[in-house]
Amino acid sequence: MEKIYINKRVFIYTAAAFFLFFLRIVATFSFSWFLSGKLQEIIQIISAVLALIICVMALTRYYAKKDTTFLFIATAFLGTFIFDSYNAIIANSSGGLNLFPLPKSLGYLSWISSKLYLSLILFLSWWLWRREEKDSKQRKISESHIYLTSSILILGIFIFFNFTPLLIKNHFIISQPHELLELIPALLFLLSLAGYINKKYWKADYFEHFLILFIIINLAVQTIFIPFSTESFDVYFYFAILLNIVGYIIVLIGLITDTYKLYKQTEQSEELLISQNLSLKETRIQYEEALKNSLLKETELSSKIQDLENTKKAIFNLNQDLNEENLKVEKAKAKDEAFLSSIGDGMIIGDEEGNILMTNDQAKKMLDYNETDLVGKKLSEVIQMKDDKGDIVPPEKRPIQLALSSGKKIVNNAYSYIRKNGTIIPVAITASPVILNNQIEGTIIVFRDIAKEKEVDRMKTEFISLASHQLRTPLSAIRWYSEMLLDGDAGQLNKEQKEFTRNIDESTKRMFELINALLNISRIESGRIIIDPEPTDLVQLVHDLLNELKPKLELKKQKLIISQHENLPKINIDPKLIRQVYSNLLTNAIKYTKEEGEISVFISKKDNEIISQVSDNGYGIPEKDINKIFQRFYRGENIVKIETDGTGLGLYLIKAIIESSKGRIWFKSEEGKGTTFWFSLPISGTPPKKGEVTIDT
Amino acid sequence: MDNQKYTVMVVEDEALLLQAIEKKLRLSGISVISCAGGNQAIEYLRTFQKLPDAIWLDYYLRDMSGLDLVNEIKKDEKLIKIPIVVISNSASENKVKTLLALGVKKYLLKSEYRLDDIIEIVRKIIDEKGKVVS
Repeated sequence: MEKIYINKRVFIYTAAAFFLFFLRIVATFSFSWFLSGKLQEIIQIISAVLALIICVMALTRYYAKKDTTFLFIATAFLGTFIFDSYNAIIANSSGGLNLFPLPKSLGYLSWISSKLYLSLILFLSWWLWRREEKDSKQRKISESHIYLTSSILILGIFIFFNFTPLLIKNHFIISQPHELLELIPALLFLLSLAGYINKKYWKADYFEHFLILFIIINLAVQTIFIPFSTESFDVYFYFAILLNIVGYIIVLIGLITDTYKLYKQTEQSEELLISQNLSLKETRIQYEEALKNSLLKETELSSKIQDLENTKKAIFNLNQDLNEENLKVEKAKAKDEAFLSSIGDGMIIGDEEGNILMTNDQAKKMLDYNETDLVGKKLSEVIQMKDDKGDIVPPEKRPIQLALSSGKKIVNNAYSYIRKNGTIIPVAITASPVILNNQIEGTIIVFRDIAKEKEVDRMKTEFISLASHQLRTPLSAIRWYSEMLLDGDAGQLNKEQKEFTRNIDESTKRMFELINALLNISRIESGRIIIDPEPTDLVQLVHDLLNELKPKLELKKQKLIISQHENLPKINIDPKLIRQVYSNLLTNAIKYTKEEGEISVFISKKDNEIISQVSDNGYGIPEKDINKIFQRFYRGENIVKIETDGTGLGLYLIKAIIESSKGRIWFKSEEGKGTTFWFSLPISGTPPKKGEVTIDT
Repeated sequence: MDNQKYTVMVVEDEALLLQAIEKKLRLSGISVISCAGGNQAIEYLRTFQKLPDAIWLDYYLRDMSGLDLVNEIKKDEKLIKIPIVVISNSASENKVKTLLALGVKKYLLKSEYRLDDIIEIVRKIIDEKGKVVS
């Protein structure tokens, strides 16, 4: 499109050129065609008026939108207007209207002055544009410079062509031929044409397009019309002035078109501006709304941020508190751990499945294992355990497992751990379940080395049995020899000798009893006594005992009455121990009751107990001694004088037996009237107890 | 039967007691083989053809326990039928049970018996054995 548009313009220029040549040819054939001076004068005035209009329009255009070209055009046509007006005046003077009488010879010089000025300005305008285009550093030509230059040029040219020729005319013949002179502006037009075409603004700019047409016309006028005009007002001259007007009109059209375009552009840009303004307003409203929203949101956001900040602060505080608490807890934990590891006994903490969670130093030392051997593993898999017979204890019977499965504290003194190096260590173990919220969470095993205790026990047992043996041996000798003396095996003794020997024998017996009682007490006190319960008929037990006691009863002519509640149940007790109780109580009763006294045994059931009652009507116990009777070696003040025989250990032993059988003993006594002892045994019986010794002698 | 004199081996490491027992048995018309220790008793029993009719044994001996001696005797076919009475200063249940199970006829506590009584018990045991034999 653009190309075609340009080609069209090139075609117009070419066509214009051809048309001008055609006009020249037409002019050649119509040389006899003359126009009157008056018409020429009118044409001259029109052209001057046109020049003025162009000048004003160009100026207006220039000030509407500054473009130096228009200023040049304005000044160019200002000059042209001046010269053309003057030309019109000259034309008038040479005939026609003849308003101003001026020398006729100056007529054609007025034309050349106008054209020279126009072509010079056009050339200047291009040349200055070119200079600026080439080097942008060049100082821009200012308005005042243009005005000044053009004014000087107008004045210079006017003076030169109106006054110099007059002088020359008088001295030199310069009037013929003046055609060559006309070629100077033609050359300047040609240069301007070349310049403006080269400027290439014509391709897009309407005004420059018309300007080029104007230059073409002027070039043609200056080259092919005016130089051929030999006379004023001949056909070439007429064509020239007509073409001149056409040129002016073309420039005017160019100016109008350009101004219209400018106006349109302004209008469009204004519309654009308005529409842009509108959209700007919309955008602004939208922006304002968005701003309002964002402000709202910002308020919301800032309140949320505040909330967040508060939360953050709270969390920070919480964190700080937590840290402090953590520190405290850790301190407490470290303290606990220090306490635990300082426990003198070995300690193993296990989880609910019997896996080791931690051990203290003592445990590791005692078992000869280190931390990594134990933690995280099942105790029963790492450390074997032996029972008192030397057999390996199966895992399910280990204290740890029993504690976990029963939920009860398990105490065991009979097992030994096998240490890492294979040696065994007898231990007293307490395995306790750790119960949290009714659920077994683990176990704590505390154990201590009882090797030494076992050794001491063994030594003690050995000592007691040896001591008793060693004590009894000389006693046996005393007893047997006194027996032989009394039997007369060493010859008959006199009465007194017999009495003394009998005393020795009696004392020896007491010594035996004392030793037996002491042995039994030591056995019971040491807790090593075996309690071996079996269902026992207590009444039967007393009857059996009676046979042994009969000689003594008969000796003192005492009565023994045995009575009981009906249907008494058999109870689970150790008959040997309880027999000892009855035996001691009845022996005491016999011993501390006068001849022909009465002794009774009554066995009854009350609630959950079987109560045995042993009464006598003997000497009784003095009131002040009531609190002492169960003490070791106590013997009633009143009876020591009457009955020398007695160890003071009988009641003490009974109390120990009954208490270890889960029963109670109490009594009631009145000095001189008699004594009653009661002892109770639970119907549920006595639990069995493993031990090492019996109450045997 | 009455004319036949019984022989009892007494094993007792306490010299005074041994002396007393020996004296009393003799006074009761019983021959005595006195042994002051377990080894001496074993040696005698293995050496001599004439065996005692019963053995009076103290449990605690210096060179061995009564249990060891009983075990030795019961191992020997020739000696197995000789009745043994253990007379000791102490008697735990276990010990008594074990000895009776091995074939000991009686277990007596020294402190509870007069010499006369023990001799009567021993004589009875020998008599019972004799009856069974004849």
